[in-house]
Amino acid sequence: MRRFTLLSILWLMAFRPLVVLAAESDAREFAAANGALQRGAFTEAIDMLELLADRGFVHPDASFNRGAAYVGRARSSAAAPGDLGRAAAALAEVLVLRPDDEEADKALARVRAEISRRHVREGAAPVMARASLGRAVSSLLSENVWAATALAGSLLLALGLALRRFLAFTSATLAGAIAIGMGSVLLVTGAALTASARRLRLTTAPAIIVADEARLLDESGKPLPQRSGSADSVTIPEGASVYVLERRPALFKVEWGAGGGWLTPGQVRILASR
Amino acid sequence: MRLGLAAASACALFVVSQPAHALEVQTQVSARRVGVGESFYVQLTVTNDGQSGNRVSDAHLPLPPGMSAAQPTASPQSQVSIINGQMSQRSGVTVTWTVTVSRPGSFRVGPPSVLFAGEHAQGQSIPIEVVDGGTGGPAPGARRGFDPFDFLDPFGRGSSPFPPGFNFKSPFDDDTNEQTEQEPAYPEELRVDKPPDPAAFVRATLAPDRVYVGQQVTLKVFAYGGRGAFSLSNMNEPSHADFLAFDASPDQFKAYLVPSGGVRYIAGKLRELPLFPLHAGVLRAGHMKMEFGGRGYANGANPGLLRESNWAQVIVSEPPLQNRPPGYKIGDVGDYKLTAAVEPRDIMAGEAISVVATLSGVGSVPFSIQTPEHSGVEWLEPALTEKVEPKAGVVQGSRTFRYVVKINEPGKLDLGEVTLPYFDPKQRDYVIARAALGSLNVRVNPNAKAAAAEPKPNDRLADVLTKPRLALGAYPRAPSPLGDRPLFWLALLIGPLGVVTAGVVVSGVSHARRRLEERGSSLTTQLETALREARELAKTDPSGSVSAVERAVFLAIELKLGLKARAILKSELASTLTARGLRSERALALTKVLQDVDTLRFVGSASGVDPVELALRATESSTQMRTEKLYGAG
Repeated sequence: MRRFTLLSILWLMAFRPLVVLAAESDAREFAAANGALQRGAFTEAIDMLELLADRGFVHPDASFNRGAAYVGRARSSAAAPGDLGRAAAALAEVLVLRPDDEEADKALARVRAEISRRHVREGAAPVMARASLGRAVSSLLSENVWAATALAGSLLLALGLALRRFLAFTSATLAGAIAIGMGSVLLVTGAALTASARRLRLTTAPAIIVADEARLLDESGKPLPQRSGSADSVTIPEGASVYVLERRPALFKVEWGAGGGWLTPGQVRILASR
Repeated sequence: MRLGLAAASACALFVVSQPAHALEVQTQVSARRVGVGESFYVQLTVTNDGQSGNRVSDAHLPLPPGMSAAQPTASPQSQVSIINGQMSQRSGVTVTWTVTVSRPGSFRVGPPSVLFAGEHAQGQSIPIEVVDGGTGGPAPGARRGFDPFDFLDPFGRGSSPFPPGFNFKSPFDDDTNEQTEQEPAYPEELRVDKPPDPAAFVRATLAPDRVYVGQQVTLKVFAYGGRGAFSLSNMNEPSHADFLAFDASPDQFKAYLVPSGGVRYIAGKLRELPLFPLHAGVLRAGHMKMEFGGRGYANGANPGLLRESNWAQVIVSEPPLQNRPPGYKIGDVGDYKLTAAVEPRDIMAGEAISVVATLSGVGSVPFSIQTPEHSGVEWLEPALTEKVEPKAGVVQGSRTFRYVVKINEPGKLDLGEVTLPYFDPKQRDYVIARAALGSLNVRVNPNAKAAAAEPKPNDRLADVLTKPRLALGAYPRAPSPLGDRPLFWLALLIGPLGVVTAGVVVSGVSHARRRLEERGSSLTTQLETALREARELAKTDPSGSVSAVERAVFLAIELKLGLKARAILKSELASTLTARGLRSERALALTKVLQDVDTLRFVGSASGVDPVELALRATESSTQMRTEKLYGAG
């Protein structure tokens, strides 16, 4: 025990200064990016905040300011294609990190509305992609709520079985039967949806389209054929939410609504998670 | 950038359309002075570029009186010449006449002629002096030095079509092969230690084998033919999907003789492509297919050999995150210099200036640079001119960005600098190329104010995210998902399975108890049945009664002691029963019953044992034993 304590102290003495230095450096760069943002140097702010993100610095306020910088540049004469999509990605990231951030939520809705408006203005039909059934059901509640449901079902089932098995009263037998039925349903549903939500969390990554339009490709990189003659069936609009299923150096496999395909990595921004 | 296809065509045409399409004719004679009765050889060698076939007919050698010639012989010839690294191929035929002289004098022989590939080829007439007696000549088997390019006798070992002794040079020989006889040294890049195919193969290389995204790597594709001169057809371009490619392929296919693995290959470089990886990963390139054609490459019905190159691989990584400057774009790798010119420097607000920035250096030269940002300064999209191409295999050049910059606010303005952060692979560190733009004097423009006050139309995001967050606030950490803990999944099962298991255990215990009870009662029933049978059969069926008595005794023992006594020797039964706690008198009594059973069974009524009495005795002992306490049982 004494040895462990000694090692811990040594570790802290050795690495704590580095951790503190890194944190101070991140805070300094965040402040510098804010300075650039306030004086209207949006590209400079974007470069700094993107570099912070590349280094693994994850914070909802840094993502929020990145979104602000992209929106600022999108409104300026220096606007670059995909700025609004990147703003949407930054704001979606804020909501992943801090789900109750109302300002980010409203801003994201405004940015997406603006993207849709521009999309429609360019003659494209508004695109609505429905999530796959599995993802839609799994996403109704959080993974831990499904897990708690499964646990409750397990307890109820155990109680019902015990009543039925060990008590001979009619009322206990009836209560046991009801508990077994309810518990089984809760257990099976909760466990299945926990497993499904866990699989989706571990195997897919939420992302936002940051290109003007992202044309879906096949695995070899060739554009997917249009369905019913409409390019909208194989084109994901800027700012749309997708899930990255597989990452290869040159292509990402994405799920968009109930369908999907492959995109080049530059068209997709994977959201940082907690 | 040249099209890679151009080089492909050059390579194919090199072999098929090198300078001489016309016939080349050489006349050779083995001796100008021969004795009467001796023979000499006249040889006519006709070659062309090999594309018109090599059919020979109408060989004709005019001879003067006193000379006669046998039927000429024809042997096909193939010749590869490499002069200053340039390869040419010729094929043809050598027609040989053996002429015998029968009288002395001075004569002119020939000129020999043949119809070769549809063309009439005629050599030179040859003066011959015929003398009386022999003339002697060079010793048979005389050898010349090693000459890999002498297709008539490459090793000077007499494989020449000339008979031994005829290898000396004739004054009439118009042999021009002297200049092709020097084998050039081949470049190191053509060296192959283990050739994969003695006939032909294609090899692709990528060097260096580890680079950063955006750093040049050079793809080279080489062709090797081990069966003489070849032509290449049906070639595809080498694949390089994950790269930005330039073309530095040679204008002409330079062929070299490359000995390797015991085969002398004719080899050369087909392609040289400077490539720039577009992303990280293990990337591959260079796969190329082609068909080797030519005399030595025909394969049955196939006119040529189809060969594919290997895939060459390169490991590509992104430059490190450490020291990465803001604004660095993945792929900006090289060594660059940035210059800029600004004019005019004295303007009115609302007017524009021109900024010309030139980025030059070694690398693919990035397509964008960073411009400074000031309020009231508007940089429009630049016009781009570029000259980027490979020089000596290294891509380099410049890109010029011509900006129109609108200055909206009056005053003294320091424009700052244009920059390009890039990664220098030689230094393995980031560098920022900079060019200062200097300052401007912007005078007040009375018309500019109204223009600046105009709101931007359709700016629906004007009030969105206008205030950045100045401090990093707290945010909730994500709860650890329960589903990641194995204990959670175990806990789901523990409750129901625990109850089920407990139920099974309880059921099992009660079942076992019941079985034991049933088993006990069953033995009692069997015992009573056996005793009843023993009594009932004692008078009518002594042997049946004896069996029943014996069964009853064993059942009584099992019921009392839980011991199956049939397996115990009767001599040891009493002591065993006593050891189990039965009173010795009872043990002896039971043993005596069983002994009487045996006696009655084997001796019969002559034994004196009364079956009735035996049955009663067994009943009495069994009944009494059930109520007796076991010895030592407390």
